[in-house]
Amino acid sequence: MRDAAVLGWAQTEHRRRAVGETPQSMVFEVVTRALASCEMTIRDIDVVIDAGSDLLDGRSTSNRAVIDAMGAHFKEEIKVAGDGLEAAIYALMRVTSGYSSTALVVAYGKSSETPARCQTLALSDPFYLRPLAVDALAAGALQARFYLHEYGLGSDAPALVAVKNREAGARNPYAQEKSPVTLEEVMASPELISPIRRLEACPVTDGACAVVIADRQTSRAASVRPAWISGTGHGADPYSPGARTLYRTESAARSARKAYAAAGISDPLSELGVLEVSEYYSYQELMLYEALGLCGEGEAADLLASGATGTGGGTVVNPSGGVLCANPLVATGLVRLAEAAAQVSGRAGEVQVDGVDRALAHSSGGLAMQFSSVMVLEG
Amino acid sequence: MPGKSGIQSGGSQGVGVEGELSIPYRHAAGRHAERFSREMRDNRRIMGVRCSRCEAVLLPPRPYCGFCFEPATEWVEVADEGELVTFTSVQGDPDAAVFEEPRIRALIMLDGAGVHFPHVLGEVAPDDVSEGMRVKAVWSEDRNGTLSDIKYFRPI
Ligand SMILES: [Zn+2]
Repeated sequence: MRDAAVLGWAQTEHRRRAVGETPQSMVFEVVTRALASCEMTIRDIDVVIDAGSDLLDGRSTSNRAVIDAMGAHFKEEIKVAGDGLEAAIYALMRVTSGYSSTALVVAYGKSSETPARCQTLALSDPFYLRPLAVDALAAGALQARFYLHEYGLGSDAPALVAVKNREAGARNPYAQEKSPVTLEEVMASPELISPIRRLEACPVTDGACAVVIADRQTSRAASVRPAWISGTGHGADPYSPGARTLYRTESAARSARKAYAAAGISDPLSELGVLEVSEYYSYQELMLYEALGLCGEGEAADLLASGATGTGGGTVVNPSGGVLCANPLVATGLVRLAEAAAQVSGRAGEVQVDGVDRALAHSSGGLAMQFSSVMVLEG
Repeated sequence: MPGKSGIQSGGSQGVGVEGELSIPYRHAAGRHAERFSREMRDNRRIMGVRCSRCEAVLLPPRPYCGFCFEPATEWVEVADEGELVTFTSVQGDPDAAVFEEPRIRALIMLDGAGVHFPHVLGEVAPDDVSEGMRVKAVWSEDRNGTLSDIKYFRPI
């Protein structure tokens, strides 16, 4: 499948607090830079698909406020309520259906403007979960302990994810966390909620990302090397965490199977050079190795310890440093797409992995990874 | 609403405008949660619904089985005790609204249920909790039809 490609992208230099910036100024910056990265202007764009959060912005139908900054007035524009990678899937449908030739995907999150906890607690059911104060962190902790217990793993297993990703993030000019950490430092960092420690949780981040997706004809004629989209999948698990087999992420597994079938991938560990996954907490990266088919159930800790997914390994996971190094909420998954596209087209700069033919981008959303999206890219 | 406003020069945070959306809601519990609440309040019973296809007993009760996309119409009582599936303890959580103490959140497989029930644990220190332990509901004497009609689950 070579019906569409990612041609251009840009992300902000992610920060804890983007002083002097508004959502609009961050969006305008990434949109202009993304267009320039593929030698386009806003006049070349047919449709704009965006992702933002009404709760983060403190505005209802928040896309109304960023229309001008996206160059979307007088164009078709649709907001997706979810991660930016879901907006990219919508854009893909637009260009592969022939309805549009080019689509601009925009996602942004300025978490510094409001307590992030208000956002993630509002994810949970007001009758059954909110009285228990089960927000994203608490749901993650329940899932983390379930996973570790199911496979008899110690709490140092996920801590190694933080060591690996912080080592990689130190090379990424866009990362928020740019200093490596040792296993001892991770293990000694305070427990936010057992078993998740401070250095095993994503930071709070202000940031934005924009991506240009085009149909086959436009991509073939482009002046830049396209990152072809060869497969995609999206799925969801039940709303109630108690109704799931919480130590597995079925939605990610189903999304990956669908994407791999389209891309003709049968052995992801040998066929993917890079994966950019959304690990909001360290244990999630381990669960995702299994869901995305890099190893069997319960084998992720061994795969990580083998070094196969680290710098210099055969299947590098999160060479950007991943979400543990920057979490521009809502744009987090779209950043994974930008990084994966950069890897397969040889434009990843300081974080480039040699010889990447295929890469995968993954996003998740909801409590304990309820939603998953996957995209496979080829050079 | 309405929001406050007024430009503030904010030092390291830059110039900003204070805003606050305080939006009251009155969420409808829905007829399933209504019956669930009433049974807890009046009869100290935990009620689920059985899927007409896969026969799983679902908690919290809902009109459908999301796995089968079939109606779940048969009400079934599940035990107020079961097995601890997973848990997490919270230190100094400022936002725990109803359950100030205890601070151990848990997923529990109640006897007779097909999915895990989220609640809290009590009468036990976090270090003494382990997966697979049997736990039982401690009912409040002062029940009002909310989730806190069960004060917590304790080890048995
Ligand atoms: Zn069913």
